[in-house]
Amino acid sequence: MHRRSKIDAKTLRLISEELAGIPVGAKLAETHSEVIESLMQGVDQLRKLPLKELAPPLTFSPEEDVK
Amino acid sequence: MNELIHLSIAALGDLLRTKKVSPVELTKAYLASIGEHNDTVNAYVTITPELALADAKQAEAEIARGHYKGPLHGIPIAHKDIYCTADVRTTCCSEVLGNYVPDFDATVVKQWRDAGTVMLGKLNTHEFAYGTRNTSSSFGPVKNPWRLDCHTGGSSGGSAAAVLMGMCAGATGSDSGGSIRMPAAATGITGLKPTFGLGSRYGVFPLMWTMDHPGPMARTALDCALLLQPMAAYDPNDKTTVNRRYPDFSWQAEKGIKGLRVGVPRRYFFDEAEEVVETTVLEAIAILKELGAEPVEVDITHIEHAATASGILHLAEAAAYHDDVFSEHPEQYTPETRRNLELGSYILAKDYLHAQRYRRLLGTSFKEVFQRVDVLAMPTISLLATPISQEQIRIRGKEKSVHLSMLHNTEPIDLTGLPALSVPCGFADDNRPIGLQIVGRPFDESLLIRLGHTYQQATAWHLKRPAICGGV
Repeated sequence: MHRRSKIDAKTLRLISEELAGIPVGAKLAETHSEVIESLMQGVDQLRKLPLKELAPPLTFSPEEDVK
Repeated sequence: MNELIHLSIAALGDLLRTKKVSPVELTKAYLASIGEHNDTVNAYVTITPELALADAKQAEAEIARGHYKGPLHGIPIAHKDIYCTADVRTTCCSEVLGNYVPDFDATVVKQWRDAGTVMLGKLNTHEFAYGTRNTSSSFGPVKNPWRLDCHTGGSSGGSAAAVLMGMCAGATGSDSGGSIRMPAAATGITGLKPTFGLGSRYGVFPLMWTMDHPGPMARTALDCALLLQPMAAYDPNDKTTVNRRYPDFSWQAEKGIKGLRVGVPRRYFFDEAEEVVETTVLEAIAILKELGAEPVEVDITHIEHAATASGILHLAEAAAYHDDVFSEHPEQYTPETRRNLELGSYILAKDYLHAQRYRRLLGTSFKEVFQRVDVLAMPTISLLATPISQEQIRIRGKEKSVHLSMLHNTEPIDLTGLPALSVPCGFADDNRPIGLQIVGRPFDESLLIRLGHTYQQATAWHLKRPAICGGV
């Protein structure tokens, strides 16, 4: 599994402004980074589950969707 | 006060069919109740008396001519304000939509209209249904009729308060993390989240495409069955609807529950709940046992990761849906929705897909348990309704987020798409209601109705009313 660094406000601000196009202030970025870090720790745990053979339940049906 | 407004839809249907009550008389009674109580609880955001009376007169004429459409004919209902209603303002309780007036009905609105219902208006919701307590609405929060300083649960809080107060006989809700069942439990009414794919989302503003479930809210399980019936149909406008033959959802309601195996997943669903909630729900399960059911202790493997997966999916999908408008007009959203939409922008696609893969794993866990039991029983929400502005709560010595605790027991059921019914099963000493959640196999709504109805025949929790509408 990939090792990731702890998410900090600076990284988050860059993602928000330069990638997502949503400017956030320094204080907000600080708060958001705490929430996202917590969520990413949850994802780290989730990645340890036996997901390897499972495809995500997302389907595209040519019969239904290509007209 | 006119006691008609507190009768069940099943009872009202009999009175309407036999012409002992007219749809116009009934509609006027509900409109009077709305006039009396709406300023107190803030359930309705749009009231449509002229349309309602016109619909009621039409129903009256049809019934008089012998063109009785069925048990919903002439029944006054209301819709959560994320359901599009032709020529009637649909706001999602957000400044973003302003006074948007759709030129079409959502499929469910049309289905209920075709069944003969009378629409009274549109109901308050958390902005874009994106929340657990109905606190973030451009019309202000819905207030819990049992304790006006507390939230109603959300996001279908207006629907729940209106049903409880006799301001409509039944209402639509929508459920992506628990938004039908949480307000049902917090207000002491009955709410049914059907299996994913049973009801059409066409014309319902999305929160998240892969977990949105439309469903009914009413006083009783049997009423939910009646309201669900017209919703159960394939809709070519919503490709997630399933083309299958649906049963009469109430046909087995009187059959009883003798021998029914009720799974009780203590870990996760009970052991993180407030003690009064746990005790009350276990008492309800003891009543089910007295009625002939067989409780079986079970465990759902991997359930503890549900919040992470659900959070990832909510944040990412909602952010994608709102991307264009949000980037242009972020100031039009409330601070809570803004925060969630901003957070959604940080979710990596691979993590979104891992969360989706987890749904399959969790589905397998439930499938294994359903080989041993027929239904699962647990608290709907693990805490009592809290004061509207309260963000943190201490449960069993641990400090927790009210928002996340609200979702704890309901969101795994949205992840798996299974049907779930919430029925009131008791009250705390200060009259705050507690809900029992019953979860079933895919498309086994009939069994949930049967169990809920049997329980409600043996108890009277669903009949209790708050003091502000004539209860004690």
